[in-house]
Amino acid sequence: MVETTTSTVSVRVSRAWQQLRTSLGQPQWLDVPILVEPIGEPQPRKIVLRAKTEDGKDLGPCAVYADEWYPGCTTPNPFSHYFPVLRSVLDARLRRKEHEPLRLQVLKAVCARTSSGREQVVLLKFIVAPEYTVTGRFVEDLYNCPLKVLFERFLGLARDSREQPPRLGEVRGRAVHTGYRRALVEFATTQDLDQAAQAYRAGVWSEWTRTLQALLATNVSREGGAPKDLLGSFTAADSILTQIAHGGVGSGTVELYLERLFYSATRGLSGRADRVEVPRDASAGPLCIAEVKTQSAIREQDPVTGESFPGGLQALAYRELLQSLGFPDVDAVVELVDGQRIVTKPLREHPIVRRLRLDLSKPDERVIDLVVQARNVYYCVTSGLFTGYDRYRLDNATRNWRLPDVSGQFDLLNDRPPCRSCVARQRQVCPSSRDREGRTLEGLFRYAPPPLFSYWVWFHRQLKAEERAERELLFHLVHTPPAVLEREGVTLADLRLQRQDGRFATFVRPERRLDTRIREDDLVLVTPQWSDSLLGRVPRPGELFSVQGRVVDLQEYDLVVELDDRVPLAPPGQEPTYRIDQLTGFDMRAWQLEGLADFLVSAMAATPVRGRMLRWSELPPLAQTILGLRQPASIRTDTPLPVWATSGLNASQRDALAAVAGLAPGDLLLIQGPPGTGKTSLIAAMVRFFVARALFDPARSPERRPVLVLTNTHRAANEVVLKIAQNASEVLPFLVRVGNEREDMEDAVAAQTLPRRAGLPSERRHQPPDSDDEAIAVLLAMSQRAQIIREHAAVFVATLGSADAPELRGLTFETVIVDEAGQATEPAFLQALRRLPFGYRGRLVLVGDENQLPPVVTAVTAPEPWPDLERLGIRPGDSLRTSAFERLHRRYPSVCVPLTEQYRMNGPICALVSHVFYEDALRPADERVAEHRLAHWLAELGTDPPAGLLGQSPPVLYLDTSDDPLARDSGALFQADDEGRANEREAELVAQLLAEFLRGLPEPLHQKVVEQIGVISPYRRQNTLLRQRLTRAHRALSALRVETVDRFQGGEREVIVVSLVNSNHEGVIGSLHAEWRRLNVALSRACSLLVLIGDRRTFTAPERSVEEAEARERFRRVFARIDELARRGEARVIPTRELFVPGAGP
Amino acid sequence: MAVRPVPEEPPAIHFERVLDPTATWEFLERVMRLVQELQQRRFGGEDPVVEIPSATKRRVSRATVIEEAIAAALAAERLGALLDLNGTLVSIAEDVAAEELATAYRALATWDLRGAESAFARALRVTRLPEHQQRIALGWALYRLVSDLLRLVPGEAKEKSLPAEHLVTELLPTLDQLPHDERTFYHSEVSRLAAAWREAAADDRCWCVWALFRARVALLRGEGHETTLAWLLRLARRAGLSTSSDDPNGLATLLRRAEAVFQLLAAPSADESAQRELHERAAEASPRDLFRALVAVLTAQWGEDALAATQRFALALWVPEASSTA
Repeated sequence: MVETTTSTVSVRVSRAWQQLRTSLGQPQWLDVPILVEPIGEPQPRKIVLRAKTEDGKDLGPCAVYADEWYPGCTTPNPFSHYFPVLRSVLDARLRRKEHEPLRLQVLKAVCARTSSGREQVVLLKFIVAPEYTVTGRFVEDLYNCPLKVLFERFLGLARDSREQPPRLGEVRGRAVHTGYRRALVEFATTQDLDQAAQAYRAGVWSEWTRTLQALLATNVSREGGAPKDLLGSFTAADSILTQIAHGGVGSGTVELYLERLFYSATRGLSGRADRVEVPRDASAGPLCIAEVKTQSAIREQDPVTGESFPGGLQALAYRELLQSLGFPDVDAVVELVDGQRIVTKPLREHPIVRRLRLDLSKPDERVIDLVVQARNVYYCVTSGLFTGYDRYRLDNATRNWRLPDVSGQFDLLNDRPPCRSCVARQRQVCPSSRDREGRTLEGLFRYAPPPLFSYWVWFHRQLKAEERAERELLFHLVHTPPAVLEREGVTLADLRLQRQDGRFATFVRPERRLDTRIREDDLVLVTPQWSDSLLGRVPRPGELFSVQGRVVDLQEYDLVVELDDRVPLAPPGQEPTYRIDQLTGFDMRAWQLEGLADFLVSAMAATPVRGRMLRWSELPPLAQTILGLRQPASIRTDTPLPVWATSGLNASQRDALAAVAGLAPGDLLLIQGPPGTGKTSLIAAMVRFFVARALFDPARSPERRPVLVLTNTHRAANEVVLKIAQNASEVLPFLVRVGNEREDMEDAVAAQTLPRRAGLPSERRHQPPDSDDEAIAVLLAMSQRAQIIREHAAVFVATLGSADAPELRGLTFETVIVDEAGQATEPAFLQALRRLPFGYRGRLVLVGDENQLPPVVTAVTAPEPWPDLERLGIRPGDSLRTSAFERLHRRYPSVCVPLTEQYRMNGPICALVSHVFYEDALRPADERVAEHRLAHWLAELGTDPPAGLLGQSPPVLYLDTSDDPLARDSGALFQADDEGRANEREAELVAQLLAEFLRGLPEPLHQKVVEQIGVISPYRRQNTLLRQRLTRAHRALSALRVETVDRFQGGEREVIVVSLVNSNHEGVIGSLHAEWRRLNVALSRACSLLVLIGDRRTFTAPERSVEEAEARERFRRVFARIDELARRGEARVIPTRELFVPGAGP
Repeated sequence: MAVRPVPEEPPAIHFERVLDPTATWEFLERVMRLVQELQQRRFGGEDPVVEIPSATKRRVSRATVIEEAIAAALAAERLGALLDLNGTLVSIAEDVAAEELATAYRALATWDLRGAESAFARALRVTRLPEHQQRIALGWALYRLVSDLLRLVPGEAKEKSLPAEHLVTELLPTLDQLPHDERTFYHSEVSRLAAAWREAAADDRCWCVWALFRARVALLRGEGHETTLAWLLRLARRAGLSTSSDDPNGLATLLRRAEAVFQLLAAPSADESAQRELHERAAEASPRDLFRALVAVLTAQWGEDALAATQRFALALWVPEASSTA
């Protein structure tokens, strides 16, 4: 049970300590959190700690002995994991120089009398760092093979994506799973078995059609019919419907919670059981967790009966988790979808329970030991506290799969690890694997060349730091008062449900504005805030009653969330309020860790030698280049190109294409593309060129394809497809846009997705055929079409995150082009290497611009680089925010082809941007671009420029608020990167300026004009304010695009208004402005008119830290250049003191 | 009688030099601090080279410089780290590694897997020479082969050939630092052992040689009476040796004693006297005696030294030509 404040916890801890002292020599069950710090040097079998409560009250010294021993103990446990794990964690923290106290959730302790007669508190069982959340489903992984956890969850090792796709068995499992869930919900709602049957078919259909892997692997069986996995998933309906009808689940006496997140802050565990059944009547029986298993490869066995069944440990962990939350009576059941039927096994009859002779009707410490051991060891291993980045410790750890230095009792389970399903075995890096063969890569860590190992460590450490912050998020949400969280900008409390329409729910808070860092598309958790009768208190985020969702609209006083499930409604007499907490979005770290691990393994595997430390010069040439150790071949821009290949390209684009055409396998080329220079057009030209060239290469193997384009975002991938459709439409029949159709895709892009091309548009996925036979026939036909299309495809366009997508499995590419390479973190960029042929014998082209926005990461601080990293081109100040493009451009400036002719900005705007950010190298592509003005655009719309500031302005307009006393910013609202600053005066000025502009134009043009205006500020809070002011100033302005810089990258508008916001006497510009590349992006979005509003004095004040020095310098250059342009009549500077004075009205 | 000459002057007094525990621990603590500092850097991802502190810019005594140098060398040795010696990187424990490697290979040749494992681990800890590293890699693969040879019963295992054979033969061409002759030697040696194992699956006599080898290893490793007796009994059955003859100290008696051990385990007799007799016979069962007797009988039967025949399952070790001619 979790208390509300630290003081109540403190009181409980003090009482617990008192209880220990009054029960001398008798171990007590406590379940309280404490903070500890080691005292003195650790001894081989004893650790002395100083304990205190969460609010700092000293509890005195305590000790932990090996084997759960204490003075007077007669039954030590030689397999106990508590001591070795704690020793490892403390040792690692010391090495990492982490000096803050360590949190322990003490489960069991004793006050013992030592031989010298002294009383001493001894901790026996505890959860180490419960703030680090471990997902419950990994508990079983840990028990089956702790070493697998080290390889997969610490290192991030993944399957080699160059391999062929796996078989259909797992899709069948998921399909049955989905069908079962849908049928269950339907029956619970309608009590109609026919409707449940339809829901089952719809579920199975949606899973088979959703999974591209299925489409690409489904083939007619040898007998000529449907494959048995496909057939089986439909025919399983009978047994599943019988189960539903007679199992009592859908009877209506229980409330069903499906796939809900539940989290225990005291156990450091979270889970997402398939189903939790909560009785509507609290006295009707226990709450029941149902875990559905479809893969039965790893099972627990009862040695007496020989019976085996999966999922027991996970169910035990979930049961313990819910009990720790305060649910008094919890039962669990494991359902195994075995072939075409469901086998149900109540936890009390599960082999693991029988084997242990557990009595689940009463508390049993052995259950806790099982669960906690897995959790603690998992934490220690995956967070790097067990081995750190000591290559020799890592190597030694891999030599015994049980990790005996930290793990305790694993002899209840298999005596051998389940190597068959392990990635480490497939990649041949596990020395403990039972069935190794071939050129095993032993000594992965020990024998990695030092630069390669350092490279891996540098990025891995930073990704792990990000992962840790994410793992501690739920604990933070549970332990911090909502008011504090609201100030941090991650929580919105006291919300009321206005309406719930299907999946969409609208929440309002009319009395208080929704000032928050939460924004559209954020993942959130909605939690009801009334006391639950079963729990006996108000639930906290993640305590079963929370529903996950995604924000779709955020206004001043209301927001709309798209939910995974319906939110509960308040019972009569309860205050119907909810809170919404921000969760992190899609976990980008997992695949970035995979890319990093893959680089380490693949680079070493490609060398012909084994069994010794490699030299970096023995790695594949491209790997050496990526590491910054080998100068790439010099570029040749004189490669002869056919005329058709260069049509429509300017000189710098032609040079770039010639350089690309001259690349040999293993070469790298960088193309720097400042704003508006036609990067996407160039990519389309490259694609066309490579496809044409491939037509004349009949020797190419079918798994080797000509070109893959990877982008950092879906938006960029879509633009590449659109540009190819526009400039190289002959390529379209051979092009596949990787992934399913998305809502934000243009139709031309969606038409290139594999499902759509195979005849499966997204709407059809939601409409299952009327019979199973028809569904199977349709699926088979579509599958064959999809396979033919894939077989003939020559160009694939994907995001870096989906570089391991089913469409690409088993394929390699002669050329991989990475677009937006300046925005991708280095580990993300490594995904591109995964698609090159073995030994990286392919061409790699990075297109980007390091002067625009860097990669988005959450960890702000990077570790100090060590000397070895200098060789790689990593400098002090570099971090995950430093893209590979930036590092490699610094390292090899000679292999970068710059695009210097831009098509967006007119002469004066281009001159400003070029001077400040591109050393005056950027220029308009032609006269037409250079001379483009607001008047030209308006003339195209059939009107003249209106009177007023904007209409009569030169291309650059600067509204200087330095002397405007009303224009001071609000100060920082949040203690985070996005400080939540706002500037009311600037918002008002923007609104009035644009309203005046619109009023001078004919009303029928308003919509078209507004579509070509963009407002940019770095702060979300300012943007909210801007939207409100704009809507108030003019009705048409409610449709105007107001965004942060980050969201505007890639976009352009005729008119861009930039609100700088920061204006204060201290000269604080904040961390967002300190990243000067934001300014480049903001200024370079404008085609004909750029309006800048801000306080010159604040931005040109002396720098407050080294980090912002460059930004200050760039701002100084911006204002100086504007002054110069103003002298030439190409810019205008207006002090705002007298402008649109409040109260004067328009 | 000879008279011992008496020295005219008393011998010089030699003071006894004894260990100074305090100084010892003080010095070792210095080494330990250095080791910890290096370990800390390793924990963060570095692989530091141990450097001997320079005396040029410091006012330190010669003794201190020497002490620091020794401490640095010891720290490098403890961690298996490289030492910077006047700008040149040296690995200072390669002699130790070479010795451990020799021990490990010798252990493999005598089927002492545990001994080989620990010697390989010790060698791995200190070596940085590519040649030694690759010899360890080969050693681990050979370890697997010997382990397979012992673990998999010919003709009974589901594998038709030794799985580690493939592992070694695939590995050998990648070991670029080992002499060609050495790789060729082990390639043929592995093929020979694998062939012998395969032959044992097909041929009774060869199987008996394998079983005798297996029993021999069980005796050597102290695997327990029952295990050794079981192998010997299986061997006797396969070799067609009968227990029917009535020689009080001969093979038949020894075999009956061995059988008694298992009869007691499998199905205790209801008859008390029979049970007592079984106990008496089982108590006299001796694996070593039975082993010797079987060796003698099989030697006579086969016309070759049966014990020597088991050597065909022993890994022969490569000897460089240069040293063999020397």
